[in-house]
Amino acid sequence: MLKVAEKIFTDVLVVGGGGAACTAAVAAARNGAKVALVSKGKTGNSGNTIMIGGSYGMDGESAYHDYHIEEADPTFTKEEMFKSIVNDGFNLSDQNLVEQFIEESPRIVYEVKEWGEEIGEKFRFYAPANWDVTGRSMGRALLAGVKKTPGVSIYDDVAIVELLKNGEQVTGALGIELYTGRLLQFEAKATILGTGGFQPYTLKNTNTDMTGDGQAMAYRAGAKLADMEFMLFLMSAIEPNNMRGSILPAICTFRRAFNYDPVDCNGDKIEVPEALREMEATSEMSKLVHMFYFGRVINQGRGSKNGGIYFDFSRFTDEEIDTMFDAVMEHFDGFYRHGYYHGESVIEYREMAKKKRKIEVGLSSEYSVGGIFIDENMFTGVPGLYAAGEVASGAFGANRVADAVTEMIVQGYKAGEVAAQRTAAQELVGTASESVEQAVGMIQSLLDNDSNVTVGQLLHQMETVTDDALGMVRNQERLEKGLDIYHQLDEAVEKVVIHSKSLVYNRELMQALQVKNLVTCSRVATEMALARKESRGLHLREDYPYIDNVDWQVRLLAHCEDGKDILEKKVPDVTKIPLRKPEKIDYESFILEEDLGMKNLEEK
Amino acid sequence: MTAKIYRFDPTIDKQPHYDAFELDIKAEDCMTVMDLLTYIADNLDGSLSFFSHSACQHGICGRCGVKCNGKPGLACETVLTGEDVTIEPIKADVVKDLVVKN
Repeated sequence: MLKVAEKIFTDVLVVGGGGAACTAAVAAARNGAKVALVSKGKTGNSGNTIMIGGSYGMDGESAYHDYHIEEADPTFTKEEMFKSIVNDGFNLSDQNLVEQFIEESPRIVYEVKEWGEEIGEKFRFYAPANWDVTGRSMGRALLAGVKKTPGVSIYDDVAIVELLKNGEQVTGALGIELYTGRLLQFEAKATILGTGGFQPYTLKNTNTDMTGDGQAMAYRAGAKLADMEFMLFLMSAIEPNNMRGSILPAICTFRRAFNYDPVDCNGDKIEVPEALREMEATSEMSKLVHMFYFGRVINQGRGSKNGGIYFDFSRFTDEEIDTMFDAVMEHFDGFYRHGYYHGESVIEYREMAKKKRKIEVGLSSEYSVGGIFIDENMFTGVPGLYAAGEVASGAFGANRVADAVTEMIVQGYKAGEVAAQRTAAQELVGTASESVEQAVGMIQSLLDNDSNVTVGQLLHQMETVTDDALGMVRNQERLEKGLDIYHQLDEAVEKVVIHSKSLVYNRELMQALQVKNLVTCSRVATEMALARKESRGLHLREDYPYIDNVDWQVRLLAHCEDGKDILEKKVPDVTKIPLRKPEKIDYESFILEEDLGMKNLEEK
Repeated sequence: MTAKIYRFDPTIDKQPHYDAFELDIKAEDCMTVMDLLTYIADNLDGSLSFFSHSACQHGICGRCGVKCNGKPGLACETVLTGEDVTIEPIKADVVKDLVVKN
């Protein structure tokens, strides 16, 4: 039988290795807490944090007046930013969370930049008030911030598999030290989840650790999940296969000098209204535009052979294509070795564009807008449990256009502060022994399974059904079918065979635990997508092509009761911008006519 | 093509050994070593371990190093040519199969 190898006692346990977790650890330690920072990967070199391909920032007013940055554009005011986040989120944001985002972000946004610059990382400012930065630089900056903060103990390559409880309270977590197989029991007064998103699709542009662990563990521990139906996709490479999932194609479209014709499998041009195409160079709203116009074509069976579309360059000369890609490479000079974007060769991609003239691209899973329900203090409602960053939900409503990087660090910092302050005078409660037994038993029972169901089969099945049910454009029939399969997968994953019985880097066991978590997230997301009989933000229903502000200007929350998902509606918290009048509006007319798209992308 | 993979489970094995897998992979498939290992683990032998718990897949994290035909490189960046390959851990002190402490 498996046994806990070591108990570790701390004040605040922070789970995760990216921006939310690192800033939470720093803030908690600064507020006097002893902190254990536990990451499935390496702190500062894991999660979606290192996948950052762009920038992060604050409002222009703060940058100009408070941080005295002369190039900043103070006309991008806090008020402007607030309006953008709420409008671009189709009015589902909890506005108290938006206020927290705007009011508290400048300090930590600026400080993280300083952590980075102190160790020689490059942060390049552009107006209104953003900095270009690579994922690795951001990761190194965060790690530097953690390392210079006394009171934080780092546990890398430890996968937290279950939260531990005593009664209603979360009292810590159980983890597997991956390289030794030792089980670690963390005992804490407060636990903060900064574990990132969930990406259950075949094509994704995320780190392999984005498996919904935090959302699913919190859900099992009694927390609510919210807004899970809103999934963000981004244009990515399908070919060449060695670049599959790279967001290089999207990064190219962000450059004004870059041009292409989007075409379907017949070579016919996919029409996108000019005003919306324009957004590629100015706003992250272009992601939603691509999902809407390209997703529709793919849904009609006119997509490419791998479920994407094509970038057609046939009307451009070789010289014109060279000029386009020169603009891409120029943008990244100084950030990566010349001609590269992360590990991808821009030159190889350019040469393929010239040779084939038509490149297959797809929309890959990038970011889960939904997650754990939190209040403006990042508190989940379950005593002792906080969540921050992509794992949580609430600030961005039905669509994210503002910086996810800013989100993770401003929420992480808040969670750390609050968790430390609230528990400063408390004693450790201690985990109930049955909670530890249950968590250890979950691993043991997987190892004891005797069946011929493999994790690989289940993973493949889950990704395929998610592509179909929870893809960019949805309908009732496919969602219902998906939900049936998720229920079957829930049972199947409990019976899966694990060939090696040791916990020492047991990849198959890790995959099984992750698939279990991903199925939980996908199941809840599907229930919400099925319930939401309208189109809003990133949730597009071909059978309900209108925004329904009569019945659906509400968030969906779920909690688990006796193994069943119970959904409820919640009216978004309003602090400044009133909800829209109760009427139904055609989705396409809305995105064409409304002033959407936070202008935070273009370099002036 | 044949892929020979280094195997070693310290909880069972006294000595490492190699397992051979026959696969139909051509140069034009642009498959990476990471794709190959994932394919084997998901479809042919679930017990195979390689660095996969926090992998960026795009040459960012730098943690998936292996030796392919004796040459060290990142599994996510090394593209197969369709020729036979031997995949081994990038350094001594093996945790399991191709996994090293990194």
